[in-house]
Amino acid sequence: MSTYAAEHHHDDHVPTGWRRWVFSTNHKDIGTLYLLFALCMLFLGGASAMLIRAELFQPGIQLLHPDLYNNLVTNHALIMIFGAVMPAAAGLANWMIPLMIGAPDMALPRMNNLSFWILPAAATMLILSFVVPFFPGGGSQINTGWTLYPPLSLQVGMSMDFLIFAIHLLGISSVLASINIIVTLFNMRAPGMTLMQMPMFCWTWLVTAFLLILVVPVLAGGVTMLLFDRHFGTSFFDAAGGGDPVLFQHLFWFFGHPEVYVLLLPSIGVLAHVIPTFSRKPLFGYKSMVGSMLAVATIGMVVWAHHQYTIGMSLGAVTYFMIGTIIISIPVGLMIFNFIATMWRGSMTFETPMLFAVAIILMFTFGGLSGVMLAVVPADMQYHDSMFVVAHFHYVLMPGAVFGLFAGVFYWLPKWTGHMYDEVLAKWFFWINVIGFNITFFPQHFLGLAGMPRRIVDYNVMFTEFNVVSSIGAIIFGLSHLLLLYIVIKTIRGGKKADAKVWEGAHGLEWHLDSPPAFHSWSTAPKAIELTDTYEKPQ
Amino acid sequence: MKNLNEQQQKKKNTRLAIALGAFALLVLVTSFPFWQAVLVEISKSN
Amino acid sequence: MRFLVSGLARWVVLFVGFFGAGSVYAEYGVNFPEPASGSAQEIYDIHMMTMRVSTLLLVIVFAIVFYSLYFHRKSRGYKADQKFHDTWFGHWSWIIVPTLVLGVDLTIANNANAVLEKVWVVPDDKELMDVKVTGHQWWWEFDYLDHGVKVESRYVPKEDSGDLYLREVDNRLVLPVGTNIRFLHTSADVLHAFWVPELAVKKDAIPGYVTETWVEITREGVFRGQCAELCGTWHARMPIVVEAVPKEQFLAWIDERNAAKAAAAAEASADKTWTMEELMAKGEELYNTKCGACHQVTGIGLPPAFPPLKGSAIATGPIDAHLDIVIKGQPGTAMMAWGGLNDLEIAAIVTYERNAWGNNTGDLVQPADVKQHR
Repeated sequence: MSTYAAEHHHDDHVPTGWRRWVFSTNHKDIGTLYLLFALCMLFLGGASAMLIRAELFQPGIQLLHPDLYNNLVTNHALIMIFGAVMPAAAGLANWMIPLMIGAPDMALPRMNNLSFWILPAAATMLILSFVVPFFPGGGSQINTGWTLYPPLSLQVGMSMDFLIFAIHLLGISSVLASINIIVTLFNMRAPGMTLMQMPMFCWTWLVTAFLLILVVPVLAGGVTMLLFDRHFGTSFFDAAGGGDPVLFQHLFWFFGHPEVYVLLLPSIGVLAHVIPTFSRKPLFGYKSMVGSMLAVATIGMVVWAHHQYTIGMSLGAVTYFMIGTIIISIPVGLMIFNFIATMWRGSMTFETPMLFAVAIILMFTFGGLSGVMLAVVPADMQYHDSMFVVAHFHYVLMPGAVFGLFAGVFYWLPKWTGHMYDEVLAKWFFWINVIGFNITFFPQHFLGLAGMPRRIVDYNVMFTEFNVVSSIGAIIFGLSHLLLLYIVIKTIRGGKKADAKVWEGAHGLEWHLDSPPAFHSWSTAPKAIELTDTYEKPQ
Repeated sequence: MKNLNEQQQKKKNTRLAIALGAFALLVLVTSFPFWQAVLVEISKSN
Repeated sequence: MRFLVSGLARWVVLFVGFFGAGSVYAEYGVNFPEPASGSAQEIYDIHMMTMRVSTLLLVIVFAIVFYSLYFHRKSRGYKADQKFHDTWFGHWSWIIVPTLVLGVDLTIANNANAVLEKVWVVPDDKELMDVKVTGHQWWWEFDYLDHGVKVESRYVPKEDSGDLYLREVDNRLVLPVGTNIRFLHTSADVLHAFWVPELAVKKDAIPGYVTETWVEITREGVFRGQCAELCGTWHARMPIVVEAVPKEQFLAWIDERNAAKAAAAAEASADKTWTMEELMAKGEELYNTKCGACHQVTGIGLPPAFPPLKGSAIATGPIDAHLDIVIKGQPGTAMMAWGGLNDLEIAAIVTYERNAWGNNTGDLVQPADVKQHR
């Protein structure tokens, strides 16, 4: 659609030094910044998880004061969700969406710069909220978990205010990024590319971006009310003042549940490229993928209260939330089915992105099925707030979100850097990572069923064995990410030259550009013949 | 879709972005009373 | 399966060489403990049902994926079937698959719904014994509304509880078997959640709300649970221990508690003037159990939510204001009203607080002063 770039004479001069990054309006540079930021946060969040598992290695309180433990639990979740997964997905979007739809850049390049550079500020606030209590007069630590439920969050010292402002900044950043992505996808597609011809990754991000602008403001509203309760004498959430502590839970989970799909969908989009590529076969069911994605997003918006079955809702309300939640298995099941059907009768090879894709299908199915168990209200009376829940959501979010991002990084790393990554090392990384993950989280199902609540710093000796196994798995799992770091650095620094079409079975506009693509790509719109190279057609 | 020159394209992008931003603000503002009402409805004990 | 998994876990523990002292003696499970109530049994059954359905589906998906992984690979020379999505299956799978999944969903939802109604709705046609369960930071208060008995239940430190550390309390929640019991849940400060796996009721304790659950215990025994909703620093130290006994034994226990309460009340209202030593000794014991969790045994508190008493304006200021805050609490904060204690107990605690940790006011508060103040 936009041929304006053709008449626009871009300055081919690439800015250098710090100006290139700080003042960047280039989607590739901003994408790189997002990804590097996410990588740093992954290690920060991972370090807090390692400390948590180290404390839980044996019964008793060995390393961490309970408040510090709870502070780490809070920070691990917030850093991983807002610092690692969402920015990484936004990084992929920045890099790939303009390449995939044949646009010269994102629609609003300056806003793109702003939405990235808010993040380091937000991360600073987030880290401050963690460290401030260690300074004199810094108040108590955040011991609420990432759900920030009042009245507990009203008791916390000034670090909670840092956290509230960090959430505001993170929210502004992701709403701006979402607006940019929606405008890009609506207005900047190559002439001749309709919405139903967009690559699936673009579709997943379109839905994700809409989810974000629908739910992030609600979280912002919720934490703002919390701030008012803490400092300006309101009592939105204070029962003694006529307020309602449960209101916050509804606001939080109205954001929190769609947030799960925000984390999940971009990775589903990556899978929809990786699996056809390495199966050498068209994506099975493009239309049903789009349909089920819209269905997931819509139903996902109206089932939030299954996170709060124990607050004492009426029978009618819990029945509705139970059935709604179980129904989500239909579109999600259809997505998984489409992926398996894409592999079926394909001609598969197993490069690292494909290995991650297969692991996602198997492990995400497992996590999804334990999700159906959790949706059943009477049984949730037992599972709720136990380690079973911890095991479940890590089985959904690690494969569903993080492994998808790993697959995407390995899949597109040669395109970004122009170098092939080290396939042998990457396969080692895959196996250590996946095995370490399963050793860490599988035993937690048993712990939860046997009666271990989540978020406890100390436990009875009856829970020792599985916690030991889980902590050993966590060491393997955590350390494996150093290998990822090494592979990424090694690939950036050099390696075998990658062709424009890196993978034998790859299709789509991005593979018609050099690896790495020029600083300004698609300054002339893609040719009609290039547009026909999609995953929808027999190959 | 018809081809646009750079200025028209920019105008179109900005207009859509402002509309989406206004929508996000609307969600923020309406969330307060809306949620209070939802809560009253579904929290009624059996 | 249970033996295989637990055997494997032990083996891993041995192999790695981290052999936690005492852990060999502890029993541990991989599934729910044996249910001790009708609702828990129903919940156990629905749990096993959904788990079996899930396992079956998982096996089917894994089988299909592994078949495909083995046969449909390039290294075996398999040529991709480019027309697969163009077959009748490709055209209709978008409706076939959701229909199959819907069938599974309805099976689960149908069974779940039947159980839900029984578990969720407190029967109004039966006679109920009411127990009010109040969560506090960090202990439980059980109020037997029909019997006029109150029990404060706190965790027992490791020295005294050994292998039952974090699963043992000083005063158990004694309940009769074969009786319909209704729990009324509420909280005095932040959110807590009452959870005893054998009874299978979990409900949040929310300040300002009263939520209800019900249970009919079917067998005698001691059932252990924990607070399930993060409630601050010592969330891990809020065990719940239910002791299910026959009805007669329960009534005998109630009488015993009432007698003890009457004796304490008599002692408190006796016309006796207490010495500083007596009150300090009594006060220290009471303070350490009832106030120590928040204000700390050392009196330094956990600011800002739990202010220090050491050198505080209240503990060293006028006695009347001090008595006021202990008896009536401080609305809008975590400080609850302790007016339920008898005059002697309050006198001892206040005396202790005014003279411990260097708060050397020298004030001696007698039970009679408390009585007059009320």
